Amino acid sequence: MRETLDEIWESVSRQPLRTATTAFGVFWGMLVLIILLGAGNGLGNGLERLFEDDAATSVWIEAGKTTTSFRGLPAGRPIELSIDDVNALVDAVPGLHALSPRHPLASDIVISHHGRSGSFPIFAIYPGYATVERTLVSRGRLLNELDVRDARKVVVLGERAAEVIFARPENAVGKRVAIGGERFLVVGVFKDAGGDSEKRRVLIPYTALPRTFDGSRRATLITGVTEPEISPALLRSEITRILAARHRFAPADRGALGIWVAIEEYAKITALLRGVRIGVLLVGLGTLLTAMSGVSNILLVSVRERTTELGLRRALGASARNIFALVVAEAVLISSACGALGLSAGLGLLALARRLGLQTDYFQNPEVDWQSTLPMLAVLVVSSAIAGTFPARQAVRLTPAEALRHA
Amino acid sequence: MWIAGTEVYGRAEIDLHSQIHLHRVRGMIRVQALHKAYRLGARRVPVLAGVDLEVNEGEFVALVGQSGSGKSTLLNVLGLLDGWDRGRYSLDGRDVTELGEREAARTRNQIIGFVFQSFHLLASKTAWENVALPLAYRGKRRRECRETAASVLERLGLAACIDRRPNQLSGGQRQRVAVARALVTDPPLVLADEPTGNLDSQATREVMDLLHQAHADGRTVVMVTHEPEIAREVERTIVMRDARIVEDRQSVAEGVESKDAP
Repeated sequence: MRETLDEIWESVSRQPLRTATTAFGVFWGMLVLIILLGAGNGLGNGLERLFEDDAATSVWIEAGKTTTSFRGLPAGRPIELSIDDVNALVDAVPGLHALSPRHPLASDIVISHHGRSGSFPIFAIYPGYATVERTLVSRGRLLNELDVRDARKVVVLGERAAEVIFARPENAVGKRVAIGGERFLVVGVFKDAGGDSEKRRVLIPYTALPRTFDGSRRATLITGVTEPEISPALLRSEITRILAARHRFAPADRGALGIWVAIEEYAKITALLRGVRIGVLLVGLGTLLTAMSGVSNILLVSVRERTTELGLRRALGASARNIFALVVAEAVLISSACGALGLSAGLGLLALARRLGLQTDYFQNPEVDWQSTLPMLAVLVVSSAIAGTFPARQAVRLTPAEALRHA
Repeated sequence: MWIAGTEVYGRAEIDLHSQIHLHRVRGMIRVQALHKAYRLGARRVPVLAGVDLEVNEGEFVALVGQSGSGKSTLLNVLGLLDGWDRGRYSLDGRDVTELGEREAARTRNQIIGFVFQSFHLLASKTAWENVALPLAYRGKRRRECRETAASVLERLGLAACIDRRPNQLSGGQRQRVAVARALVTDPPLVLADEPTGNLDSQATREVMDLLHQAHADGRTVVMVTHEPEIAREVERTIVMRDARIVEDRQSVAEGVESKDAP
C-alpha cells in the first residue's frame, strides 16, 4: 500500500504545476456542483416556503379587464368583484370552501394606541381567509363568524403590527385601538409563515367595512380553498361560468378574471424546480466530466513520460495488472482527494451563506444534505476510475522490451 | 545428451586434475525453432529466424554478433520481456510458450535477474530502493526490503551507497547497483544486455567480476556483448548473424569444443 502511495506521490510530484492545475479542475468541478445544487435547493426551499405560507389548496380570484366585447358591451371594461360575488360562489362551486373577500382599506389610514401609531396594510375579510393564509393565532383569537354576522368592530393584529402599536404587545388583546378614527377592540394577535410583510397585516371583519370606511361592497380579491381531488380546470370553469354570468363577460375571456389555483401553480413550480435540479446536475456533472478528462489527459502524459520506468517495473516482476491498477489508483486518488476537498469547500461555503443570512423570500436555506453527496462521491470515484483506464491501457500497451527501448 | 521428457542433460566436465566427471545437469533454457519478425510497413523483417538454443544450469554464455543480428531480441525473448511468433521455449524446466502475462511477470520476478546496458535505475529512488524493487513485487514489507537490499549492496562493496540516489553514483557504481538488483531475489538465471557497454575499463572489470561471482555461486548467466575480450572471459560463446545462431563454441579455457551451429 505504502509502495503504491509512494509511486503515486512520485508521479504527482514529477509535474507539480500540471498536476495542481488538473487537481484544481476536479476541486472546482465538485465545488461548482455543490454550490449549484445548494443554490437549486435554496430556490426550491424559498418557493416551497412561499407555498407553505398559504394553504396548498388555496384559490385566489382577482378581477381584471375584459379583452373581448360581449353582448354589446365593449372590450376593455374593468370587472369589479363584490361581496355579492363571494356570496354567489358559496355552495355554488363543488369543493370550494372557506370563501372570503379581501379588500384593503386606504393606505393612509393610521392605527394608533396611546400615542403610538403606525400605518399597516388593513384587510377586511371573512374568517375563512385565515384558512387560506394559514394564519396562526399567537394570543387571543382570530376573527369568527359572529364578528362578521354582527359586523363587530374588532381587529386582529399581525405580530409586527402589535409590536409597533403596543409598548407591551403581549398585553394587546382586550385593548382598543383607533383605526382611522374608529375604535376597534383587539381580539387577537397572529403570526404567519409568510415573513415580515404578512406579520404587519391587520385584519377586520368585512362587514365592519361599510359601517366605517367603505360602503362600496367591493372585494378586490376573493379567496378560498379547494379539495385536492377537484380538477383545477373544472374549478376554474365553474368559477368563470358563475362570475361571467354575473358580470356579463365571455366565459372564454381570459383577461376578465385571474384565477390562481395553488395546486396547479405548485405543480408548475415543482416541475420547474425539477428542471432546475436536473439542469444543475447536468451542468455540474459536465464540469466534473471535463475535470475527469483533464485527469485522464495528465495521466496519459505522465504514462508516456514514464514508459521506460513502467517497462522496468514489469521486467522486475510487476504484472500488467499491477501497472494498470497503479495508474487507475492514481486517477482515483487525485480525483477523490480533490473532489472531497471541493465537496467540503462547497458545503462550507453553503454553511457560511446560511450563517450570513444570504436569503430572500424566493431563496431560503441553501443547503446540500451530506448524505446526498455520497452518490456524487461514488460517481466521482467511478468516473475517475474510468478516466484512469485510458492512460492505464496506454501504460500496458507495450511489451516490457518495447517500453524499455522507449528511452 | 538430451533425455526426452525429463529435460535433463548429460555434460562432461574436466577438472584441474583432468579427471572426467559426469554431471546430471538441469537445462535452464531450451528454445526450439524460435521465429520472430517485425512489421515494417507491408514488409516483415525477421529478427529471429528459427533459433535453437540450449543453455544448462550453471553455464556462463556470451551472446555476440553485429548490431541487428538479433542477440538483444533473443535475450528479451529469453527474459520473457518480449513475445515471439513461433517456436517453443522451456525455462528452468517449465514450458513457458503459452504463459499468460501475469504468470510471465511472476516468472521474471522469481527466476530471472536483469542487468541492462543503461542501468535503468529509477532516478527518484535511493540505491537500496532500486535494489528492493523486485522484492516489493514479491509482496515483501518495506523493512524487510531494506534489510535484504542493504545486505546485497554491502556484499557487493556498495555499503556507502545505500542511501544515495543514482545521480550521486558513478557509472560503475550504478551498474553494480543494477547487478545487486538483479541478484537480490537470488534468481537462478541472470540475463545481462551489454552490461559493460557504457562503462570504462575499471568499472567493466568490477561489473564482470560481479557477474563471474554470480556464476561461481551457481547461477546461469547469459550476457549479450559486442566486446570480444569480454566474450572471451566466459566459457561459452554463441555468435548470431542475420537473426540466426551461426556459431556456438566453448572457450579454449574450458577446452571442450567449437562447432558451427546447425
